[in-house]
Amino acid sequence: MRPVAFGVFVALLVLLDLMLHTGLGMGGVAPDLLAVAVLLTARRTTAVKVAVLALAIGLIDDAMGVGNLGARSLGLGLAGLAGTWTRQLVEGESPLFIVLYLFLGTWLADAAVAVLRQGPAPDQQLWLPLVTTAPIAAAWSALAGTVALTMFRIIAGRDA
Amino acid sequence: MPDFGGTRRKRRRDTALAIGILLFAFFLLFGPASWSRPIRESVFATVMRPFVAVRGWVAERRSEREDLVVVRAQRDSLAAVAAAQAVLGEENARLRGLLGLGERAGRLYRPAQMLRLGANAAEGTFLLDLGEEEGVAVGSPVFTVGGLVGVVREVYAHTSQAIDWTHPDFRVSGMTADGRVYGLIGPRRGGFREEDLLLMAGAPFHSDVRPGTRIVTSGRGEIFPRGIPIGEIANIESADTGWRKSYVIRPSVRPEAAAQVLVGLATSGGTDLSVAFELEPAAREPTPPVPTDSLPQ
Repeated sequence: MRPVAFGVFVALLVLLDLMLHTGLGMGGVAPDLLAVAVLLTARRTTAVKVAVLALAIGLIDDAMGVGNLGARSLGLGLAGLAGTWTRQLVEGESPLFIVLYLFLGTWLADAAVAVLRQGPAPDQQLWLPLVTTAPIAAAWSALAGTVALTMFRIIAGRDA
Repeated sequence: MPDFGGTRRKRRRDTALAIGILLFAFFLLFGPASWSRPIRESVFATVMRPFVAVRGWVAERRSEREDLVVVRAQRDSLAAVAAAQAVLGEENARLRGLLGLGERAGRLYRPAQMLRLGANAAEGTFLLDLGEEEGVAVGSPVFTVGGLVGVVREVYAHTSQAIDWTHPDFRVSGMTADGRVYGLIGPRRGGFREEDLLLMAGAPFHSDVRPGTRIVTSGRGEIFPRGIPIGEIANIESADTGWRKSYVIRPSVRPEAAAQVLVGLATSGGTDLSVAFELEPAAREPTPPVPTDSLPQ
């Protein structure tokens, strides 16, 4: 494993996400590479490092809105912690597993953020996007994340 | 498989620290807004600065590619609104002179570029390329020639963040264009963002507002000027019960379609823009203003 190379890969994912969403204003059209970065990191490092990464990039993402910060950090952090636990269940990273793992992880993070932002009195319309648009967005992110990871492995070597 | 956690004790400590970090995010989320503000300001001033600059550049290039006739028409309409408020300003200055009051700030509104950031958290919000240095304040109204768009919520040196009418915190005091029926207007969430509408709640039970009736700002909240178009009545809210009626409003302006906007250089309550929007000014209510618009938290 090459931690430095993987760190650079994660940093590039974060920068690419900020460029696509904020710089180019693509919004929901662009994949959620922040969630992908946290979930892939969760397969390779300790829970505390994942939580720190989720907190940092969650705060950056939340700063684009006007409400209190923290929802995105919590959503990503919960998905990341769940990701670290999957290491005890599944070893190895086949493309099929990565697609499924990123899909479920991104969907979980989205659902957690949506619920946390609603507060104690959730909107009745909350669940419709979570079962219609959110899975499509999660699938798109999972596909983009798998392609990015494959490219990283080709460039940095199979053991990276 | 690499040994990520080391000993069992080390793994437990690691998990406890991770949960502690998540608890910090939890307190930030449910704590006072003042805890978030310095972090947001730092993020905007450092990490996000180049990305916001790129967003501004992209928006500028995009507007250059738009049809010149459309852009010219939008600018002419904005100029007409600005000219109308200048007449009001002159009248205001004359009355202030008669009453022996001091002069107020010259311009009340400025044109600005509206930037949608596209981030997950930025739903229902947008960035303006004017800030505190240009006279924008928390509570400044934002509108286009078509009607009301939103209100400023956070102000920095040369930029500001605003919420549009789809944001759950948005509220404006509205009335029918003839001034007969008043109500408090907020967003009415649709299944998807494109289906978002507005809801005028608190209208008297005996009121009978027909579909198609124009709804404008009433100016009662002292945030929005009076007379800015909000939308048209679509129908009566079917779920409404009790002694008051609620009406669904089809908005005049979809925030995602707006690019060039006018921003109030302070909370512009007290002014009347009915003439600027080619509406007959409605008679003012005898009751004193009640603060009902979206207020800074």
